[in-house]
Amino acid sequence: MNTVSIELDEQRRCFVPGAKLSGRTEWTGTPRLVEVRLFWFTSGRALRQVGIVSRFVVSNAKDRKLGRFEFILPRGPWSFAGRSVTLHWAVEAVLIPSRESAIAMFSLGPEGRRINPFREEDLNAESEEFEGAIECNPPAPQLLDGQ
Amino acid sequence: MWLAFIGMFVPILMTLGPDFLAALRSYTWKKVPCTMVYSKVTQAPYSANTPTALHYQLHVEYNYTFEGRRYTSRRLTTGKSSGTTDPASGHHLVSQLPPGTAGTCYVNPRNPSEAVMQRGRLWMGMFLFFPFIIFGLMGHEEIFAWLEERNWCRRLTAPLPISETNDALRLDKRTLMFGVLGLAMGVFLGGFCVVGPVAQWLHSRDWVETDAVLMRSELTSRSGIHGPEYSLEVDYSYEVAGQKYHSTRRCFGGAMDEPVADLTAWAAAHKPGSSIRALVSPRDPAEAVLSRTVDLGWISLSLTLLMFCFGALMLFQCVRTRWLSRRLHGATLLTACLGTIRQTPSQLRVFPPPLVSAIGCALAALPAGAAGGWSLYKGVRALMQGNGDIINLLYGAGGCVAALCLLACAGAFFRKACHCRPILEVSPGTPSIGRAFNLRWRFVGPRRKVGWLHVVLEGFEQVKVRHLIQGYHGPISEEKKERSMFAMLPVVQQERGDALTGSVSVPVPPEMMHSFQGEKSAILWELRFEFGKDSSEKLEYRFPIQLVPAKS
Repeated sequence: MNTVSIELDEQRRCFVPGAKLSGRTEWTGTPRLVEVRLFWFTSGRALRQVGIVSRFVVSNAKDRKLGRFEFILPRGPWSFAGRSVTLHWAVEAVLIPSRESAIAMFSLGPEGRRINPFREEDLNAESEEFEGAIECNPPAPQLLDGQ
Repeated sequence: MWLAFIGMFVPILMTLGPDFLAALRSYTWKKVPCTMVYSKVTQAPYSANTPTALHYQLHVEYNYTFEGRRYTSRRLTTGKSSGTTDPASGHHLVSQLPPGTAGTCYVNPRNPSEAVMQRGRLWMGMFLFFPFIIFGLMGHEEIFAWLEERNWCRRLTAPLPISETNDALRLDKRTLMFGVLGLAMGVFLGGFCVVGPVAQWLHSRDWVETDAVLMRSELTSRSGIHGPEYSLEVDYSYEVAGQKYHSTRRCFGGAMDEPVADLTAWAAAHKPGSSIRALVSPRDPAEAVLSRTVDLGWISLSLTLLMFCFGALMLFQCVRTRWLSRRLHGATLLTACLGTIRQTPSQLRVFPPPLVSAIGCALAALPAGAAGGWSLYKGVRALMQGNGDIINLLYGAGGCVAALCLLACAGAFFRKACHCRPILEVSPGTPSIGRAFNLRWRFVGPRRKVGWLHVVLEGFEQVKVRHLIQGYHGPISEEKKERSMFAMLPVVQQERGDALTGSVSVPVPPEMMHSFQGEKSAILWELRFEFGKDSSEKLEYRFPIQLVPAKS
């Protein structure tokens, strides 16, 4: 079985727009190629939207076990946590064709932190988000009447 | 639900199944030449239980030779019945196959004494799918929920990379289903109720006036889903070149909203046995009408248009989602979700102006009110004659209510149009978070007197969430927009004095979130303008504004 891991050089995981984001990815097995994707995604009550901003393809993945990547972060959208929706930023390494993946999340904002429009943020939320697994379940439809 | 499905499917299968199988079987039969012995059309009761329900039966006899042996058959087609309610089709066949003419028939090679002149109609088999369509519509929410659950279970057992789970831009199967259904129903209704009758009317310009005798003119009623349904049963006979024909057609088309009061008046004015003039096709004398008019009806037209537009809109939504899912990445994605940066001042106007909206609503109220009023008048007239013209009453009331709502909207817009409205200039065109922007305003239009003015910059979080609601035929889901305000920044608070023109510098705090436009979620900013000439008057306009992230 193939495995993959990803690590950012910057341990703080807080970035400002236009900053350089770099890191390394390691894998086992012999994937055809390894793709590192820089993207944002939403979570919360609405369906998840993913916006892939940039891709970095590690060539000769069969002959190597690790690769370095580097991206220049765009001007937005900034990370935010609202009442119904949260926007996260992440880099993900994906082995192709087996589709094994590893993700590293970070914040993109004017001062390198997530915006909280409603000012109700739990201060621990950001660190939990980076440590915990990403919830992959869909937002359940809400039953209004008669159910 | 399963019991309902079985209750629907079994009777349909028992009624249509044998005929469909027989029709299917006849397509394996051999085509051989035959000679007509006789052919005629007779009028007979549909069944022994319904002696008043008449239909036209086609009687044929023909000889054919198969593998050197001569046979005679009297079967027209496969299936139990060889009758039709349309005399024109019967006459048409009889005129094509007079005795002595050579034709073709289809012979069962395993039993050569079994033969038919026409193979059964395979499209009748489509009706076998009706229970599936109805069942699918009733239980579509459960079916989609099951499919989605299966999809999520699959995703849990074999996790996908997060970057490949773009659910917001995935094709919504519900939208696709309703789009296809709406378009199919629009095409079906449009074809049968509009295109068909108009095409027939266009081809009937050279039809010849002929004397006819009215055999039947009677208003009949039956129980429908909305209550009693009425139809005018007409039958008249005429002669062309010494041959007698029957027809049951009054005009082209047959609107579902034809007023019962008009039908009653027609039946009263045309008694059975009276002479009448019919228009007969010179090419096929079996085709005739009493009046060369097209009966379309506003309900059929409106339903066709509504179904078609609804279906087209849903399918456009599907195509748009597919297009976005392929296009939105890199720079295009950033422009789509953040907007284009504009340094030059941008002007924000009320669009459409209230007067245009008022005229639009009033114009839309005219056809709705006229059609609704006409139907309601006809429905009430039928009610006074003792007939419940439910379709005209129901749709007439609906049309009148819609017209009243549109008139109320037109009135509200017109009242707004009688006052001045603001025009704003925002500089730079797309303000940034953490920087100040300049806002200038002036008022245009009539009654330019502004005694007080409040301008507020408001930020909203908006999500589109699918909700389940209990419908008449089972649960259905619909996507609803939900908005919650996260910021309200007062910009101008002018309580007295002339505020017709002015300008202000608006600082946008750095901790605010910029505008973000996602497919199912968004951060929106609006400038709310409230004003009036005094405290008794309050007018409100909202102007969406794009706030972009500050340059780092």
